[in-house]
Amino acid sequence: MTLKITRSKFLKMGLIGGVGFALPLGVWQTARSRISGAEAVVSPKVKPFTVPLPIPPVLKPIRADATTDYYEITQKAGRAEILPGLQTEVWGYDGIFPGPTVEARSGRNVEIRQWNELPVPVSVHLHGGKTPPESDGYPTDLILPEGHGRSTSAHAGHGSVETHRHFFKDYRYPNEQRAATLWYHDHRMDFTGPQNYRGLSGFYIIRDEVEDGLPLPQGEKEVPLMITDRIFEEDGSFYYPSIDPTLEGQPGVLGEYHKGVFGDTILVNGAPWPTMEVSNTRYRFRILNASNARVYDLALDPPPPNGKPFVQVGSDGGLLSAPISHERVRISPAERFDVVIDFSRYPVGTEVTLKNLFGKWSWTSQKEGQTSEVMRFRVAREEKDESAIPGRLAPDLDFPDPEEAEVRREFNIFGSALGMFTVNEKVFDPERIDARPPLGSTEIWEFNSGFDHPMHIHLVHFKVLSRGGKEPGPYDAGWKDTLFVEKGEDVRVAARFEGYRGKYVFHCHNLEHEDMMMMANFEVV
Amino acid sequence: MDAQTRRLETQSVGDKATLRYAAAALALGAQLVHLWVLPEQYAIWVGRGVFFFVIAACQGALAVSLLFEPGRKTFTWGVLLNLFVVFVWGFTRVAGLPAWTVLMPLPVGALDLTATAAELALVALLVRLRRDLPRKERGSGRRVRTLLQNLLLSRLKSGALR
Repeated sequence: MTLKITRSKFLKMGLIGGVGFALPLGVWQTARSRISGAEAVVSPKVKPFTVPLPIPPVLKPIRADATTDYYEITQKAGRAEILPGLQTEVWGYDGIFPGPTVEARSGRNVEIRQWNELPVPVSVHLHGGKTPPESDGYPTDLILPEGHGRSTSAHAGHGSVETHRHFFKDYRYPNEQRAATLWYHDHRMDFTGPQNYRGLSGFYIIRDEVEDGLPLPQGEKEVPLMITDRIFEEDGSFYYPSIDPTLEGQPGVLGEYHKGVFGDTILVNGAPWPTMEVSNTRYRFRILNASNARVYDLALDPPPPNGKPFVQVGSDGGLLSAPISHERVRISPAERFDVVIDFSRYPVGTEVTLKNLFGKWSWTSQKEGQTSEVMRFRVAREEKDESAIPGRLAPDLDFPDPEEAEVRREFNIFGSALGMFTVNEKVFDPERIDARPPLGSTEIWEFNSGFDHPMHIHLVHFKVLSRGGKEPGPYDAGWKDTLFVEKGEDVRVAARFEGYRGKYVFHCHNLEHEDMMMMANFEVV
Repeated sequence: MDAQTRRLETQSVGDKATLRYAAAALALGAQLVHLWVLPEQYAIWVGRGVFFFVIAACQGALAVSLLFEPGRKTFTWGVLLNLFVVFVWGFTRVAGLPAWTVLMPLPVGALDLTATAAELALVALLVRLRRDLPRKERGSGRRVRTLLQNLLLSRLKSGALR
């Protein structure tokens, strides 16, 4: 039997091979190359410890009355020399990164008019704030830029909860809460990750009389440290592996980055591996991990010759009742640790490096090891120390009594499949309410995790009750609003839902997980 | 056959060819839309990339086949393929894309609407072209039928079915 192939058949087979197979294969290869290219981007080399630590400026109120301080912030693009010799465009509050620090007093109102001069919609969340729902920065409560239409999100099903304003919005913060280190940041639906990454975050510090009465280090010796990690392109611009870099269409990130965007350059207060000159006295550091996904295990190198390096005096929700000493501080995204370091234990001239013991870890081998250092302290001079760490920091913390809890809820936080992350096997839907705690009630919430997830609950602070059925961990002390749940762990917390009725979210604060729908609603009724 | 009948037949063949070329163009257009969005779909999730790759490959193969006087089978497969693609599009827009235990409706965009319109027009053309082709018994069907007939006859002869 002979196989006869006519010219026509040959042509047909050739065309089918080309149009039906080779062409799609070529496009497939292009798609793959884009992803592998994104995973291979490496920042320009920077010599660590050559840049001084910047301190974000404190924002001044434009006016004040008997009850309220009024501020204005404009969200806009700005330029900064983050890497020496290179210019980076940042999207910042007042065009700077980190944004200006807001200093508030407990019980005194703050009203901030947020202007949007960026090309994309924004929403501002005061992280750790006991805030009325209309000022909480709900993900679809957006401030649209000039000329921007309503339809802005690619994840469909956002429904009728969307509210939009053009140009500005007034956020009202009653500050009916204890002294604490809070922070404000962008919270736009689907695009919180890239918009924070470009610089939309700043400190918000609440003070009160209890804290004023303590002899803790203050003034120049009370230092906010915002730790972030970033990838830079060769020209100095931030590199964020968005599927759609315009941040207008399809949300999400490329390839392995869907597990979280990990940068290879550590920034503290927006400077790469900075140095701070200190005297041989105590300093209080308000440490915030504002990274999108990276968890740090902070340690001092060399460690002090006697005693533990860090004395924790505060957590997410303010002062602890008594200080706790730590060899290391593990801090996951959005957590805050208020620690005192006593440099009197080092001789003048010593250089002390703040290390990240998790720094060798990375998705891609090219970036391995670059993130194991954070910043350096240089003990430059002798000085008399008038500060102290009292054994008692704050009155007994009024934690919710788990015995009072009438409701216990369980949340399985798993992912990812189909490019999505879920809470109780459901992706975020702004119209679906997953919990309705009554105002003033106490509930026990249990989080079971299939991966590392820093879970954040809006409105409330909570007390960690147990981890994996055992006692809470060393970093669970005090009031928390963000909880690091490790892979395979189940963690129980008790929260009292007080302050305001309304709809709030709780979500993973790995911002790539959050953008890919690992979020849910609760409504205080 | 007079000249007018011949002219009419030639015209009919010409019309059918035009329809086939139009169908090929629609299939190619649908393929190009699927190829255009393939990189983004791949970036979202590899499974979505694979789906768009397969659909694009099938539409491309269909477009080429339509240029070479295809048989009924090609038209049948073309109709089924495009009905499937339109169904998937409609389902993911109305009910939603299955994501774990819930369905997440996808937004309707200009590009996917264009592709769906092309696919619906393509289905209509393919049905019309298929209808005009003479029905031919498929080889495998004929073989099976003959086999069964022979089996039945032999059983009848042997008295097994009495």
